Amino acid sequence: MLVKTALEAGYITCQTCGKLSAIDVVKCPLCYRNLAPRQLKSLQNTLAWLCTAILLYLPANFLPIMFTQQFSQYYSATIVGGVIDLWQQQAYFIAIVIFMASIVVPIIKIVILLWLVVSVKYYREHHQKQRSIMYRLTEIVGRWSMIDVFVVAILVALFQLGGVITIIPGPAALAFAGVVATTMFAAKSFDSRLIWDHVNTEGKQH
Amino acid sequence: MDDKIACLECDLLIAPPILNAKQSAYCPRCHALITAKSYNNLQYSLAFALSGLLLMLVANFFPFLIFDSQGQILNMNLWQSAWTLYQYEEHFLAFLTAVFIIGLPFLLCFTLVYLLFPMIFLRKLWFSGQTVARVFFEVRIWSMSEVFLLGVLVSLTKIMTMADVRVGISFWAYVLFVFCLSAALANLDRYRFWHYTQRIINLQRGHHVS
Ligand SMILES: [Zn+2]
Ligand SMILES: [Zn+2]
Repeated sequence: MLVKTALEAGYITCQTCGKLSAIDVVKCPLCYRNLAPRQLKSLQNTLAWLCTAILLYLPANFLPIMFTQQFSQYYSATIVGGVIDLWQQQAYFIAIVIFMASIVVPIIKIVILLWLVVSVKYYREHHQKQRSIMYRLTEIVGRWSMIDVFVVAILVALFQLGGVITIIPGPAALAFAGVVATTMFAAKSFDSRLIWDHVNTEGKQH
Repeated sequence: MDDKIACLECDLLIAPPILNAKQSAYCPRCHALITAKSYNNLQYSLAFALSGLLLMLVANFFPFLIFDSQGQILNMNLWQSAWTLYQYEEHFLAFLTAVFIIGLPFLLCFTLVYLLFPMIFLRKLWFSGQTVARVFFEVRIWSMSEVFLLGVLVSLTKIMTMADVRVGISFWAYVLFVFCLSAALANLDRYRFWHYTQRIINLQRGHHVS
């Protein structure tokens, strides 16, 4: 059986509504999205977003995410510090949730997307199915990394109301929101159809 | 052109699935979901979106968290986390928080009603329906209300030993809102939605010709 893509049959697939249009149509007639056979500069844009994410990941983890002020004492906490505190308070489950969402997920997401970009560029015809699954995974888990930023936002608001403690947001909070946003943009820039292009068709390209 | 569709994730040409309530359709090559099994799913989506709208309104008028500090009872409302960030000069972060946890989730519910109500009951689209629908599908991934909810639970655990904090009515409304929004989005099948949109457009064109 010969596998044929919409592009090979002379159609452009709209990535928002799925409508097929002839190859020379510039705007989707159903949802008015601008059409291109494949997302423009997909690999370059993905790489650019990933580099930004890596640069932001450093301040996000090494600068304090919040400052705690109690009487005249002043503490600062990083994301990792917060996880260690939770672990020592024996809140193991939540410590693991935060550790996964804030530290593991962004790294895994960046690594997977880098691997996808490299594999589309150099190893076209291996493990397509696994790569598709990985791509879907990065799309689903990315948003959950925002959890620590929200925790800071809630604590800051709660302790501003009253009490002996004051909590002030640190610079890592914004940097971390930046990591989440840039990895989401990176995933969006990556065109998963590139994984499958030039596979299993008549003229294999190398 | 309309007798074929393509997988959005790998571009494989396939025959359009026959819309059957009991079966899901997956791409034979990359296993991406083409259309989910369902029964009247757009109607469900509309019902959940409408409930979500009401619950979000409720969530705005009651305390979200209640903080007991040395005999003083202090209320924190839903907007307070974003507003306090703004007061601490974290303007951009405050803006993102407000958009991700309140603005966008509310707009998604509103947009769903705007799109699905005329589609289901009037067989038409309201003003700019097609553009609104496209923007909806493009921004829906940025709605993070369920992440915020998990964040609230983590915060409560974190400060359990330090302060006496209870949840308010607004919190429960928000929990139900998150449930409704998730159910509305889960019942909104991309393939069916655009399939019906196309049918309505064809119908309107037919009327103009005759
Ligand atoms: Zn379209
Ligand atoms: Zn596919």
